[in-house]
Amino acid sequence: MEQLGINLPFLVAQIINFLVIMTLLRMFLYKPMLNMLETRRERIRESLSAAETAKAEAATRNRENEEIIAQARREAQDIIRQAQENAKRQEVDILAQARQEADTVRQRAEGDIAQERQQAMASLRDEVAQLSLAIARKTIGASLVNEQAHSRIVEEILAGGTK
Amino acid sequence: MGRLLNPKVLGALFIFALAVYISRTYVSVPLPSIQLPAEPIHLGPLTLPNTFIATLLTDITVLLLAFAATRKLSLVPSGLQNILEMAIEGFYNLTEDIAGHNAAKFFPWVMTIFLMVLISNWWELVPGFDAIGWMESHPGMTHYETRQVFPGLKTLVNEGAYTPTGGHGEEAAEGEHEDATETEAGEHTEEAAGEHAAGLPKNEAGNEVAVLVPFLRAAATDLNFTLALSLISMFMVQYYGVQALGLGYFSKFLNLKGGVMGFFVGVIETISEFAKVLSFSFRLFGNIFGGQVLLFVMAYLVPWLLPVPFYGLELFVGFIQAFVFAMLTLVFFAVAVISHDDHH
Repeated sequence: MEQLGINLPFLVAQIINFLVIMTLLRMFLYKPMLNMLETRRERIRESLSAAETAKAEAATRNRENEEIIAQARREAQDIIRQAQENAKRQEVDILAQARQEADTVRQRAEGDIAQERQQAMASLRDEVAQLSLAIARKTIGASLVNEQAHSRIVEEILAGGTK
Repeated sequence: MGRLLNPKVLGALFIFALAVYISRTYVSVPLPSIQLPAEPIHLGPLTLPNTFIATLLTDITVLLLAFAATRKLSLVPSGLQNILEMAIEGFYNLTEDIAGHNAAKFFPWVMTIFLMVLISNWWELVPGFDAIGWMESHPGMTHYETRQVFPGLKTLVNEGAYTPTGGHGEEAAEGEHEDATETEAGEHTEEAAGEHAAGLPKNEAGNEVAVLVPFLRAAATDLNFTLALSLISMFMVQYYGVQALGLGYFSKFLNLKGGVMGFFVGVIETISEFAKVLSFSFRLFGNIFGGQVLLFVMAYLVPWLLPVPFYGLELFVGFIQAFVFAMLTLVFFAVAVISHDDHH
């Protein structure tokens, strides 16, 4: 033992030294540090779960937003389609009305023209009758006294003439 | 051949040759004679082995590390706290893997063994260890010539080796010396106190010769240190065994139920339990002592450059030995608390 350098007092001293150091390290190093590690682990776990929740919430909100946007788009398209349909319908209506109005105007104009022509014809006939009577009076002289009978004869001639 | 003529290879060879030449010519490091027991250092009224001084240095280092790392613990670690946390967390997880719910109980022992052995092993690699000490004379040991650096400070050189026979009876028993071999630069100055230097003998050439007794020597090169650790470790193994299994724990050693074969196995178990103490202490001692001798010899052969890779090796060995000691302790703890009968 002496040759190996083993000597009881120093062996005991080494043992005591180790035990003292271990006690000190346990108090000042292991305990605080392991507590700290545990605290950190806890904190990390909390943060992770919080992050998970936030992520899920964000995903839900995102989905909602997307739905809202999609609906809005659908509505907008509906509105546009309706507007287009309305416009087309109105176009057709307007065209039809315009055509109808034009027809009406044209018919009225045609009626007017026909009436006027008839009036003109009537007045022309009267004129012609007067003129021819005047011509006949001048030529025949006063022989024909009966004015009324005379008019009737002219009338008959003219009516026959038109036949 | 072309490879060998590479300028880099040639340059390295040239530098190495230069280092060998310079160090053999100008820096001569004597080969220390190596002894097993720690050398006693006289500090006033106190006489302590140099390995015990190194143990105290290790204590201080470990405690300073602990205080520095835990001074202001923060949830976001940095620097020293980070490193120690990594080590402690890693070890704690390992302990949990092996020992399960006993982890909290075993952890302080295992971790303290690891830290103490690791730090004391790495201290050995610090320049000045094994290199600074008293000049003394111990008959029977190889002395080397001293050179004065300046008054009060002397250095040993690799010249005029001389072994005095008679002489100082008081010192004869504990003759000792080691060298400045630890410092890579080859600087190996040793303090020589006046009182010690006064009694130094002279060799045939008339020059003063001495051996160096270093102030510090790696703690694990002293069997007291390694034996103390292994005794603690194996005592705690028995303690936890009894704590977990009651007196039934000892049925492992005195097995009367298993017949002749069982009894014989019990005897072997008993022997192996004592053998563990020896293997524990001698494994650590042998590795670190061997490493120390390796560094001495390398520095003696070529003081410059050559020792560098061996420092790296010893850094690794120091870590591995600390880890092995701690892990074996942990495994023995874990095995002790498992009921022996469960295995059958």
